[in-house]
Amino acid sequence: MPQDHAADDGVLATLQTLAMRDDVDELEIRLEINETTQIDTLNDRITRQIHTVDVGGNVRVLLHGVYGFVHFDGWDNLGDHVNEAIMLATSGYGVHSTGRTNKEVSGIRLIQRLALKENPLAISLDTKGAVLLHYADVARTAHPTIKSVTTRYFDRYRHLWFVNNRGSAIEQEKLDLGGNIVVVARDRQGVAQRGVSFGSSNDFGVVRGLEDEVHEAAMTAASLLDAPEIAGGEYTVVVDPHLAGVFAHEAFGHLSEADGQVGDPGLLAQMHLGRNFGPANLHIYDTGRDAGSRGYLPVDDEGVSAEDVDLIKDGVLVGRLHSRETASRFGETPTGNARALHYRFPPIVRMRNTVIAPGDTTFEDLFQGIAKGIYAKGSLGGQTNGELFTFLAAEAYLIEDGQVTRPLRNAVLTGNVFSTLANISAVGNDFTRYESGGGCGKAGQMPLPVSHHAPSLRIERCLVGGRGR
Amino acid sequence: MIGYRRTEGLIGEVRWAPDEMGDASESHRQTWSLTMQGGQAPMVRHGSEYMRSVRVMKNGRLGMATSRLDGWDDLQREARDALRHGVEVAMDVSDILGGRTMPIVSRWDPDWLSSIDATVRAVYEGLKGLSPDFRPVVTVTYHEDTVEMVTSRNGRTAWMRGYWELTAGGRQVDGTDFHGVSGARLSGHGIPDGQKLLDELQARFHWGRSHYVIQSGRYPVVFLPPVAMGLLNPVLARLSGPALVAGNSPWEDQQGLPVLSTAISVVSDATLPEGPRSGPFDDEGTPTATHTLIDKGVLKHFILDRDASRRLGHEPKGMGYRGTLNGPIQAAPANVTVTPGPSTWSELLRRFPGVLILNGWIGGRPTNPMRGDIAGNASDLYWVEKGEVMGRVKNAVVSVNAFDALREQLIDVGNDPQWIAQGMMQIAPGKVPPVLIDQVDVAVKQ
Ligand SMILES: [Zn+2]
Repeated sequence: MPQDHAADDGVLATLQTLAMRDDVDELEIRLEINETTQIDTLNDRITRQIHTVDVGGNVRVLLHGVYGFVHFDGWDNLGDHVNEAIMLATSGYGVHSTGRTNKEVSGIRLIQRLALKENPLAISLDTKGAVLLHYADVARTAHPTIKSVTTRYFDRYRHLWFVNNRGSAIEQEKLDLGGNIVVVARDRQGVAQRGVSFGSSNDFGVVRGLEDEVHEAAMTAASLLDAPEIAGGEYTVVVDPHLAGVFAHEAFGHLSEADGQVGDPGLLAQMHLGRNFGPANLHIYDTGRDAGSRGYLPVDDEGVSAEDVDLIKDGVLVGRLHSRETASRFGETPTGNARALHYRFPPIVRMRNTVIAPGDTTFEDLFQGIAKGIYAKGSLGGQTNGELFTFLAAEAYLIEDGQVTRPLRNAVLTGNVFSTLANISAVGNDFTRYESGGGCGKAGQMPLPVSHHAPSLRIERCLVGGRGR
Repeated sequence: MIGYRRTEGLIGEVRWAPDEMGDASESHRQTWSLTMQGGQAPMVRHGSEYMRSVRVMKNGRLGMATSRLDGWDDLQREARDALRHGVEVAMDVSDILGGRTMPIVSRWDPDWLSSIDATVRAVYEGLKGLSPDFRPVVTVTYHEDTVEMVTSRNGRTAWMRGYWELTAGGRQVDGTDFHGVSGARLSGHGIPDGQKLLDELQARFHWGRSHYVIQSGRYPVVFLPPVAMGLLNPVLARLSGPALVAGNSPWEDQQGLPVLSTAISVVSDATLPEGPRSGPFDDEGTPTATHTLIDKGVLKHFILDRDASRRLGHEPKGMGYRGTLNGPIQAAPANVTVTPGPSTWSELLRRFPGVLILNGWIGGRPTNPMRGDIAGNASDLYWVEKGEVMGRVKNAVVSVNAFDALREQLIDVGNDPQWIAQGMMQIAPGKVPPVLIDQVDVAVKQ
């Protein structure tokens, strides 16, 4: 059904007519068809298989410095929705600050089609389910302590139409797919889990050929069973590229989002461009131009083309992530980071693919001279409130005298963002383009597809929580 | 030419085959909100969502389909297709005696926008007054779901759930110190009292103006409602019917036995006027009732949706809810409440010469809810001496086991519960008092 209108360029023309209003400062109309498949399995069975198609849209107007935002299911009565958005903005007239408008970007006209390697939409649900069950089988037969295997796969095709009253008219197709295989080992001593995660914006092929990784995950889970709890304290920590990427995202990326900085003089005093922010070879940037990564975003949800944004270059803070509104308030250039999870949300400032560029320290040298430390691999999730970050490592090992010695359980890495960045003492040369099936959450919009590519890092004096003794 | 619209069709005309059972529901969710946030343009929002859902049960399997636009025939066909991979179920459907039918008219009144505006602005200005650098964010939202439902047992009913939510907070950044406060209030009739929330936020902000350094060790800690709810989540996981059926709950044979401190009673309550899930029916059309899950520490009832009820040989309890509008039905309490204890706020603080207050932690959720281990970086922690708040404690990781905390380590329960809205990590909205827990492990980075 959704493909019926794929070539219907009458949609943009109709929307442009509706957007031609001179009684508002800004007006945007977004329509979307969103087709999602999700498959969940437990051990040898499919437990859930869903295919849904959502069709709807939203209207956002800016009038006297107040936004009115209306979202709706279906594509009915678009003119009424425009009028309601204007009415809502007017009702908030009493709270307006200034009659300002956002950073002008020249209107662009664009039709962006998918460029796929292997198209997931061309693969049957049965085949997708069979691939997942095959991995579950690989894991279950790997070791006798493997008691359960859950897998999850999703793909989401989005077809979007966007117009504004500044002449932009954009039709784009997007694809996002991902998932994970979670292996749980259990014996009398307890429970341990390990997972394999995958993601892509253009290729179902990433779901194939994961047998070795799944087998290794199962063996690792089994080996973690009798691992002791980590003893809480300060350690020198080496994190693998996956965890380093999550660190870049949680500990620094969110802080770089300008909607969290605007109106906050205290934070701006800290985040002033030119400030020293890490070792001299630290380079962190955010890009929407990395085709195939889940953070690929050639045009954002305000119709702004993706710019690569250097955030830290040579250890110095040099940039931040913008929507049109935040760019306007800072007098800077929009960066193409305004993103909405789907049509039921307004765009807000989000990351795309957040990258730590490779350094020059070999993997072996990262461990040199560590008397007692932690080697942490993978992530089961992270969180930040700006100042503090925390994430749970998927695996953790004790480092003794520069050698990785034995596994530990429940490594929660946590700390102050600013001091931890300053405590990065080495950047590895093992840059890895890791893609996971998770997502980023902010302001109720979750999970948004993002990527983080990074090398291994060594961090001094990192606080690790744990109840071991 | 661009006309994706909802397929017409009356829910009352859905028909079922003789060899199947099923239910169909149609939900209309609306939200209106106004947000003011420091440095950004205010936003006034109205969202409208429709969701149709069909469940078919046949030969012990469940097939489901949901859609925003499809007609009933298509949905029924999809649900029947889904039977092939459907989970095994033992459930039946509700006969919904005594239900009322549509139309239920929305309570929303456009004039409310100006009252929302006034409340948001007053709280915003109040927070702004805390300090020139304070960056406030304030939102008032009115949520409303109207649902109509039919079942293959000739059941038919409709209901509405509507509630107000005020969230407010913000932060002041000084150097690399982020001093944040936040809070929320819910109400069943009208906008919650902004001044009360503002008073509380102002008090907490002042507590935190000075810093206090403590040593790593074990301390008595008052867990305020947002983190007390975090302790409750593992309890709900162990009470969950599906976990029981799957043999995953360590409490499967503990009914009638003490599992928590005698000071703890946990209730699933669908009658509280301000409760987001209050209403005559759960999402399966089962009439709701108030169920005591834990009574003075003794396990009384598990959390059972229709399927888990039938498997365990019980009558349905009315605890089947969707986590999201288009999500599957899960066993979940209506509104989960912890019965308030005897102690006033100042009594709680004076139980020990020195006590910590915890109101927020980053990452404070268990990796394995059945085990209940939680370790979070305290983002909102205060030190109290002889009942007086001395200042804010930084760089501390608080680690507890939720079950130990609510069993051996529990000292006291406060008498002033607060609402916690349902979040990503919890299966139900809750009304929870502060709890005082002794011997909590606190690791401090100096
Ligand atoms: Zn994030």
